[in-house]
Amino acid sequence: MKPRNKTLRHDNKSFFQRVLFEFNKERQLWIITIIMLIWVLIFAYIPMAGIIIAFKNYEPGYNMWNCDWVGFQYFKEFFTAPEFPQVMRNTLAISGLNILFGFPAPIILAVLLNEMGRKKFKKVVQTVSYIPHFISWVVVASILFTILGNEGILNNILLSLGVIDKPIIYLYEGKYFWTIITIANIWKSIGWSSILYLSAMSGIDEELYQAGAVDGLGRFGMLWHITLPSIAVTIVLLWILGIGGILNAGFEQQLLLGNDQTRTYYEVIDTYAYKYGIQQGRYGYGAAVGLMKGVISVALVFGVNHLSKKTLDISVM
Amino acid sequence: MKIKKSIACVLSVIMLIGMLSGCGQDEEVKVNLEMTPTTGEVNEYGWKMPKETIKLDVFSALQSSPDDMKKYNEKMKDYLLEKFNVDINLYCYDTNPDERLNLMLSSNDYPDCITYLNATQVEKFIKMKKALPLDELVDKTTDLKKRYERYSPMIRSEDGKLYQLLTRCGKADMDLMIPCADTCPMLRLDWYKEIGSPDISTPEKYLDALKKMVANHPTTKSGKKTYGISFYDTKKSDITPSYISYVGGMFGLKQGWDIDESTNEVVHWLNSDKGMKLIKYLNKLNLEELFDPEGFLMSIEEWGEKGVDERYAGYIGPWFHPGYYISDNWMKLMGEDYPKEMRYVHYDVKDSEIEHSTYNPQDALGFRVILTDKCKNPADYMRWFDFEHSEIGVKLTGYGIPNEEASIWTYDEATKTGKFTDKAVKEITAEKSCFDFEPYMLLGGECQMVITGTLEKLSDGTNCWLNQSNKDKWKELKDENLKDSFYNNTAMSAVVMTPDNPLISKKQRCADIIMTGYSQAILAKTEEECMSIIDKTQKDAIKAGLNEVQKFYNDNYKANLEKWGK
Repeated sequence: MKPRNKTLRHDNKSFFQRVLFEFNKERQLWIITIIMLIWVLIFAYIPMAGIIIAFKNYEPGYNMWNCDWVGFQYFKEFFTAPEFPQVMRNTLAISGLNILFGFPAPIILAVLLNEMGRKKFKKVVQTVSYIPHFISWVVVASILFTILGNEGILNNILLSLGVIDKPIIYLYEGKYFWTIITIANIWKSIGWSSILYLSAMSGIDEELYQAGAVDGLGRFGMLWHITLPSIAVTIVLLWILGIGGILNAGFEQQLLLGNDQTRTYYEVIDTYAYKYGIQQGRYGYGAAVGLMKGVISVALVFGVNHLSKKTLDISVM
Repeated sequence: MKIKKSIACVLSVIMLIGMLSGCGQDEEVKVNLEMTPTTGEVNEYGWKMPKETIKLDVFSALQSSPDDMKKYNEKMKDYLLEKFNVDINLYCYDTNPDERLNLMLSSNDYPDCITYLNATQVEKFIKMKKALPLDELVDKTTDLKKRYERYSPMIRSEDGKLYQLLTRCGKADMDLMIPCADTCPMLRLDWYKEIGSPDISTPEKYLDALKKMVANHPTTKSGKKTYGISFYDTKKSDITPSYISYVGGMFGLKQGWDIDESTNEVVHWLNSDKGMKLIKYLNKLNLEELFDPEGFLMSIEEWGEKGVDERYAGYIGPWFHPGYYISDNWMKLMGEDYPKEMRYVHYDVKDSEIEHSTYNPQDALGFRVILTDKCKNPADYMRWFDFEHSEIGVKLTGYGIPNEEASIWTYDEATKTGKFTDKAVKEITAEKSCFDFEPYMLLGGECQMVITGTLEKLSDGTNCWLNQSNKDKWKELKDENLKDSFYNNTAMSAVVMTPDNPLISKKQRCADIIMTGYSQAILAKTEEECMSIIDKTQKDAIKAGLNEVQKFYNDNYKANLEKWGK
């Protein structure tokens, strides 16, 4: 009688046969995912080969193989560029403000929504809160110009209340830029980001709240001792990913809201790479700046993840 | 583990294949001199009909609306196919042309022919050997060859070959062109007459007039503040911001450069006294609350809306902006009640220390057109370009389809001549112009289908533009007032800084510093603050390499003058 032990049968097969076997076993899953895998392969993996231009003196139109190697010249050029301190400052400031204020904001909104008793009102508030996520930055910029312009709504209100005697051109003053962009980012993303936390909260066992009530916990007590610890894993995971993206301070919003007067406040890594790389046709330089950003981001994700694993025993990987 | 290793190997191979697929070709391409044979028949324009349809695929590098281009070219495209058996596919994109061209080059996907290129963009193609040499092809032409006897010495490459033709050449020699002042200071005529039409020949007098006009009309009917001067900033990052190049003419600056006529020394406006005078003047306009600060932010349409709301007494910039965006809309809104003096009229305003204002640079060479190495039938393109340079070719591609109800010109097959219709001339030259451009543009008018073309005068004294060939009272006044503001800028326009030049990053850095500094200086709250900001801007720009960039322009400008003997 032949053994029906699959493991034993497996050992006798060649590598190719084993692959076929596994594929056949999970064919439904493969059929569902194969198109997306091909898409990821074509649009995410194959283009990665182009990163080589970060190390070559590549100009659009030239044969990539015939271009001279320049090694780390572009990386050196970026780190020694006169704009580097300002670009890094702006990037870290805008990202820092987004993390400082933009990270807790959806948590607070989720907690508040969770505490709401009236379901209909809660649904309305939730829907209204994530509509801005679907509005493009072009429309957001137009809204901001209307509100903050020289003859905008905010100036009209402040002038009529006598708070100011001359309009303030907020969009021309660099000192307001970080505030404007942080508020715009929060307004646009708070609702959508709160969905993750709300779904995590919906998974909390009701019995914990009942036990808390028995122990004499009030609303804030339940929030502090039950709700927040229960969604701590979600918070930490998103925090790790947020720290990893600290060098992604935005691109579209800076190009739309920024102008020459606020350049010293809005120029971040991505807009710098676009201006000095893409617009000047120096694709290699732009690629090098992008690669540097990607490498640092990956290092940050791994680093913070490792720290989180050691201290909180929570990790992404 | 083995499966993971295999997957990693497969991905590496895919990446390698991806790298190799990004390669382009480097071989030189031979020029095909063969033309599509003709049938022997000649059409009403004297064009020998080809046996097979000649297909011309042309990309216009000017940033424009592709939908508008398609809309206005459709009838002309069909007309040329029917009458000439030539199928011209002329297209454009509404994106930054440099970025678009870079994308085309990197993906190796560019058309046979590219027109409306600037000198720098052409150099890129020539350096990469992607532009065909045209000498042999030009030699086979007639009208084109005659015209290029004059221009080709100025556009030959270092190897002595001709790789480029010109689009809308001819704008420098006053004998060859119909003068048309492109940039000038303007004032709203009805408000100007209200204050007694004072002398406005100097910047200070112009400012005083603006002040009085705004004092008479401090707000609009809806209570919004009016301004003396407005402008629309193109927001193009450059070492000479657009507004500096417009207003600089008042102080003798030539597109932001202070050029000594005797020595041909070139100094950037930020390093010159004229530039400092200009900035002080603009700041003064701001201090007098005559300057609309939103000019730095607005789009041209938003600027036009404010203008239609009667918020501006004056403007300095392209001559047609207030007409097209403001007074044309007033005419449409008011209809018969539109007062003819409710318009912006053009004047020459110059600093007392200069002999002539310098608002209007004239570039003999204009834009450029090339045939790329992908072009399989360059001789057919050249044949069409030859026709475009004939007298009737200039008219057909400039004025659109003739002999139709909405046409602005008639073509007489017997005499092979064309002239404007009386109706078109009457309407375009009327004091309260009622000429409707839309039907005329739909027939391909306003030079919609021009690939090469010229601005030179034709034998009957007209050129390719309807409203330059037939000037109304206001345009006559404009060109008369500004007749001393023209200067030959060909040598400076032809200075090229290619992307591989190490100065390109320095130029961008300087541009960033200057674009920020000049706008802050103009909007400064006191003159001292203004000069302090501009001082700092100058120091920062020099640190970033402005003087090296200046030297580059200086050396190349002089080299061009020496090469061309003028």
